[in-house]
Amino acid sequence: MSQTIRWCAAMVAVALAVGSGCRTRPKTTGTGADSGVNPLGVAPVQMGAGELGMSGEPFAGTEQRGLFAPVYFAYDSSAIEASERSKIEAVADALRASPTKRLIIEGHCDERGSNEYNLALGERRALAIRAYLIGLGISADRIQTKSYGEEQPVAFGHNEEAWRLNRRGEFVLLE
Amino acid sequence: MTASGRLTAAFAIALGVVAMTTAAQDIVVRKGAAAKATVDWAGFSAPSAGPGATLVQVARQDLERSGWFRTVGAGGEFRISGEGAERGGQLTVALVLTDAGRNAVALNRTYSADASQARTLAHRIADDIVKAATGRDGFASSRLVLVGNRTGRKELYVCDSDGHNLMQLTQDRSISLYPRWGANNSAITYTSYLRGFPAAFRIDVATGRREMLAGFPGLNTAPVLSPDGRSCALILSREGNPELYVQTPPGGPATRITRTPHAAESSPTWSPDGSRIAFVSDMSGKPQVYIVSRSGGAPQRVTSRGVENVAPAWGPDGRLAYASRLGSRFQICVLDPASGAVDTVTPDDADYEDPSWARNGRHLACARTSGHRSSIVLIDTLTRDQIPLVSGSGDWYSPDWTK
Repeated sequence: MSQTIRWCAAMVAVALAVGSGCRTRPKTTGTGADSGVNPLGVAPVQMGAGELGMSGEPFAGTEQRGLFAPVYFAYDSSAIEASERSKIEAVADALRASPTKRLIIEGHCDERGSNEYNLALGERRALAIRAYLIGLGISADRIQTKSYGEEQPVAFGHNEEAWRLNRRGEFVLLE
Repeated sequence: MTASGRLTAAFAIALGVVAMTTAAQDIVVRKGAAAKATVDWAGFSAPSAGPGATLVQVARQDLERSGWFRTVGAGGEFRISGEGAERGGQLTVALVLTDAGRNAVALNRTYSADASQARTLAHRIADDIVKAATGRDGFASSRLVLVGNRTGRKELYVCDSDGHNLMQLTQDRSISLYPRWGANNSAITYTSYLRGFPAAFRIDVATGRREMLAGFPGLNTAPVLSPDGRSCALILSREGNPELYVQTPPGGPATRITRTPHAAESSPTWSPDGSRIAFVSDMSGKPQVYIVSRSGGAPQRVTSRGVENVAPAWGPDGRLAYASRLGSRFQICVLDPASGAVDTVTPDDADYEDPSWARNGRHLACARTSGHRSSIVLIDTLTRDQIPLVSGSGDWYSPDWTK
């Protein structure tokens, strides 16, 4: 399947996931979730609309790291670049092949900018990858996110190359 | 005009001028700097070594750090006389502060403390002197909570207002972030990866007991107690996106305040009366500071200058300090929300981030990063004077003053 077709399929799947997610939307306290449901075929995902919420307890278990390539991001962006889509699709394939395994997506930032804001940005990156996986048909309750902001760099330089490598999403499989 | 009258007037002018242009303010700030009163300790006798000597040395430095005083050998506008003596492990101080201009006694008090508490007693005396001379609260008795990485991990530390008595508070070997005092300084809230993911915690300072306020899947961060201690603002992503919430009571049910499906929120700070929350959102495309009612509604953007404006701290007089990316540097700016006037209070020689107001509404502690090393400095927003507080042995971040 070509990239374009896979991407379109993903979009439709996301729209379906968003729509069908209403049935299982976790009960929230306070003022509750947004009422708007994304119409089919429109923009990737309405993140934060409640339908992509995470319920239950944070995942814990035996971690498998380094099985998948990190997904890289542009500066101050949580958009999934076209070049990174195949990496996420490989993760989706693995999750389909092992239906009992769960996934934590770790979001990271480069050292620039406010530490506190970077923690939120790292979470947005992890959530963007999660939404893409849900769009590919992976069940939302198998995927959680964890942001490290700028706290866990893999490259320790203070230059463009180090920053590029640090702006990333990493995948951790749980048994 | 008496010295104390001049001091008060200078401070009032400097605050009032925030509403005017930057140029006008510079003039008044220079006036403010010139308005420091002279103080002498010529009439005060204390041992030349030991706790009594420490007391005088620490109190003198506190008065200089307060921004209101310049120490002179004799003939000061304010004169400190009396005696400090140690007997049987007990430090006793009889102190008289004379306002020479008015020829009046401004303060006449005796103090007593265990000799091991000489520094603490000195801070208390310095605050009494500032209050008696200026009518303003001092901050010498305040303490800081901050983050340090000298063990190789980010842990919480506390220290005195002069950086002394630095003590490691957590020993988690995890990542500890964004500590904030709350509930009349009886509690510290912060973010920790203690359980393997970013969760919000509260430490009871007296007992050391710790409880988790929020540990949902995803992000739980930046918990800050409201001024009355009955609520906690924080950032959660459990509904699918980082948003601002308020828990009442802290650790209890969370009400969602923002609804920004395409943006991330961070860094909440309460208004002094607890009715509003300032926070950072990138809903405009870049992180900027917004204000929202604690009960929700439409957030109002309050920063415009600067590519990024982050880490707001709401001061006791209503002014907001935040870190603003101006050119290639982060600088500390102070905004008067009533007038919209903005004042940059740091020089362009380093990155300055994470401001926190001292209880006098005049001084800020913040992180200063130069050559990829971070330390904590004290900034007088009136005079722009800068004093190092905590540096060396690793990096230091995220200071927060007791209120």
